[in-house]
Amino acid sequence: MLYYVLLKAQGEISFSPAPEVDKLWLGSFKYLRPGLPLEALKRYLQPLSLSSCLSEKENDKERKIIRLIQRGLDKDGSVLKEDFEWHAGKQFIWTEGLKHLGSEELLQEFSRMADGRQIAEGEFIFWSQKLKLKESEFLQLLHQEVIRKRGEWIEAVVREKNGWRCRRCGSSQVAEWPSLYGTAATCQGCKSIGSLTSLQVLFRFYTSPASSPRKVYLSGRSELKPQAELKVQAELKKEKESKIQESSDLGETSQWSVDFTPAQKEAAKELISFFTTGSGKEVLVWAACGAGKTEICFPLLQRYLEAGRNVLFAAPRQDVVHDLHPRLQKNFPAYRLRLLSGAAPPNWENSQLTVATTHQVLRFWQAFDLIIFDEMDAYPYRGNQVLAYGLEKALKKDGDLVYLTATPGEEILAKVSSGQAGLIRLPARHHGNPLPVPEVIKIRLPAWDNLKASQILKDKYLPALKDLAGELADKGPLLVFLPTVSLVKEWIKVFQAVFADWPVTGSWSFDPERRKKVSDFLTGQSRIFVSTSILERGITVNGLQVLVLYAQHELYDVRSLVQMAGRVGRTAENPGGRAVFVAPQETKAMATARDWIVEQNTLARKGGFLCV
Amino acid sequence: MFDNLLPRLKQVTAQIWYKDEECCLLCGQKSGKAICRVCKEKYFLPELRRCPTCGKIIGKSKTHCQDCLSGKGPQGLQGVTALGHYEGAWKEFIHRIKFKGQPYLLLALAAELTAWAVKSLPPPDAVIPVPMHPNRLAQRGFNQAEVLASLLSRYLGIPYCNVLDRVVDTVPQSTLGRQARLENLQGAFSLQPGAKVTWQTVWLVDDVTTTGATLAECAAILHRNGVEKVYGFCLGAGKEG
Ligand SMILES: [Zn+2]
Ligand SMILES: [Zn+2]
Ligand SMILES: [Zn+2]
Repeated sequence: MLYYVLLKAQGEISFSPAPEVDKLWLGSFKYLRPGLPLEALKRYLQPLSLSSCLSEKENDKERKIIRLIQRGLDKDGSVLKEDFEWHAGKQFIWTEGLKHLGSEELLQEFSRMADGRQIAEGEFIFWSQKLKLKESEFLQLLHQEVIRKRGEWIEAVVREKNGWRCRRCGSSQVAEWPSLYGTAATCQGCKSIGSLTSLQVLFRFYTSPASSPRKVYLSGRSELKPQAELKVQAELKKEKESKIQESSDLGETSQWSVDFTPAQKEAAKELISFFTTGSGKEVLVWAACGAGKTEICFPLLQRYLEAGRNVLFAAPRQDVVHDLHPRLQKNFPAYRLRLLSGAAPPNWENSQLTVATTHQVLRFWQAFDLIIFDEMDAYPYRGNQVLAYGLEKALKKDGDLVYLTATPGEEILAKVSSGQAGLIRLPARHHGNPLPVPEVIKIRLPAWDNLKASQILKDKYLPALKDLAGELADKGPLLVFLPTVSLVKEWIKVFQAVFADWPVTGSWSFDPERRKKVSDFLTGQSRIFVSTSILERGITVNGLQVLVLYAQHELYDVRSLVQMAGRVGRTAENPGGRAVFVAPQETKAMATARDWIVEQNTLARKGGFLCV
Repeated sequence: MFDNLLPRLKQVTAQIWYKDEECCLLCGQKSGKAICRVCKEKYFLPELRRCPTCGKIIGKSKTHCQDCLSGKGPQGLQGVTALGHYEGAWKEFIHRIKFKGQPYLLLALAAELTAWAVKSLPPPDAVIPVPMHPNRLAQRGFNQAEVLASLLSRYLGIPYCNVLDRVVDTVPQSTLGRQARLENLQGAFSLQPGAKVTWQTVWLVDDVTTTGATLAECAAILHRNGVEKVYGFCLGAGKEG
């Protein structure tokens, strides 16, 4: 989109994509043609803002602006051929009506839809269709909101000393390409939710009290009183938000769709008092695998919602979000729940409770009072700077953050030990049995490079492994983990050959039949299932046994080992079971994984949460 | 304008594609190539013919499309070809290039594009892009036809000559019917003032062709200025039947 430089009578400068709207709101001004991308304009005219306090003569200033722009374009290697010229704002003739800008109904609908959002230029067309406006009319509406200080134009990708940076996701990974204005860049960090280029903008809409009536003053030019309106808003905001109920007494927990265990009640209380006593702004809930960490947030959530606050439940993976959605809906029927994920149709509604994948968080700007971040260490969030940046931006400046995980990463653990984040433990499972502690069994399997099933079948260690796998599979369905896709493919053949009478199958992330095979396994149709880390999290199978082959592989860190072992003993019917790591030696990761699990059990025992 | 920047771009893009190179650009499946075999068969339809008058994809046994046989096709082009069927994932890919700020994606297809062009059209003396009106160029910041033409030029070592102007900011062709399309374009193009036309054979390059009207309009100007043979090359075209 192109922006024009506006020079007001007092010597003030602004940038506008729609001077016809400025004409409605401002006094007289001059504007510079042709327009340029906002990123270029802001960068070229930076020296000006430093010296603009010096009251230069108008003519000098006009000439200087043109000079700075031309110098900038040359430096950027632009091939733009047009000459720059100042025009008087009053000569600006706009033939089409601007009536829609005064429509109270329209402004309210837009406010409701756009609350706390960042809208990318590429999305304008969908918004205008939704609001039944032409794209140019929608643009005028946005610019009016900027003039009224309810929103802001942001250059999407900015040029910095050593490269570029995206202002939606913070990434500096871009693809460069030649444009009319010299080299342009497209962000690679957030392209999965729609690409952004340095020639484009974001419209950032500030969060306002949702769906509250607002006075709109656009019936005639002289009646415009943006200041007065802002005041009205501030008052409304006060009315709408009430204090969060401080008592950490949970009262009846029977309103929730699951019965709270004593351990869950304890953790839920701790969570509420952490925030209501002002202990901090960030807390880690470190739960045992299968302890029901999601539910313990419900009472806290309830308090925030009752107090009129906006809450986001975020998780990195689509399957987790789609699993969360019905559970939240069931437990918070009084609130409209908004689901945002790459797989769901776009959702325009504003609502107090949002459940979203972490990528979708990039579409918000200081929109939430509380963010609950589930499975925070799961790929693709783990170590992803882009998503961490997005989360930080989506949270209000004084907002609260809860991290939920069974396997916290280094970063959050460091925050906890430095006191930057609090820690709440949820050590016990529903059924009150301790977590099965993984065993290490030393078998030297054949080296994994270019390994073929035929070689494995001839290997001298195969009989030992066969005995072990047979023993486990006698107790219940056996899930075998392998570090790579090619190993999974070969070992499926091996297990099929060795256990010819049993249904043996397996899958990996790009397997076209993945969905069906996995659901067959979950419904008990295979005895042995061979898999990569795709089944590391989120599944519960009654009586499951786990075997991790090549457990020494570098892909297996503490977190994935704990998660894999955490698949065992999740149901009340079969709270025990075995998790076995097969490797030539015990590695540090295996030892730490064991320590973590043993520690949870110790805590659970101390808290009196175990029944055996 | 894209000519001098291409060598640098190639480097940058090589770095970016490093990560994704194993996945097909159209379907995202692992393939080890820019476009997987399945998508190639689905969208590029290499075994089918192209209507030499308008570029439409036609059956193996046909020589021209129905429209061109009945005389409704564009006049004046010596041949037209399109790499793929403007549908589904291929259409989406072209939209990513045009509307979603990803013109660099074309670089990943350079080999595919040049191979198809060389196979389908006789060698030219110059590659000429269909121009974009300055207003639209200013908004978008680039002309995808220029990117495509300069890419062919560089890979094949044929001079790139941007000699046409779009003087009327026409309504997008895609919003109009056949007859309106032809009228819409009348007088929309001209030769750039001072441009020297010295070639016998040229390739005229655009992103998409539906009726061939845009290509024909540009070809008429080139013919008038002494070019003998004008061949059209596009990324996408319609398909008959
Ligand atoms: Zn980004
Ligand atoms: Zn494909
Ligand atoms: Zn034809």
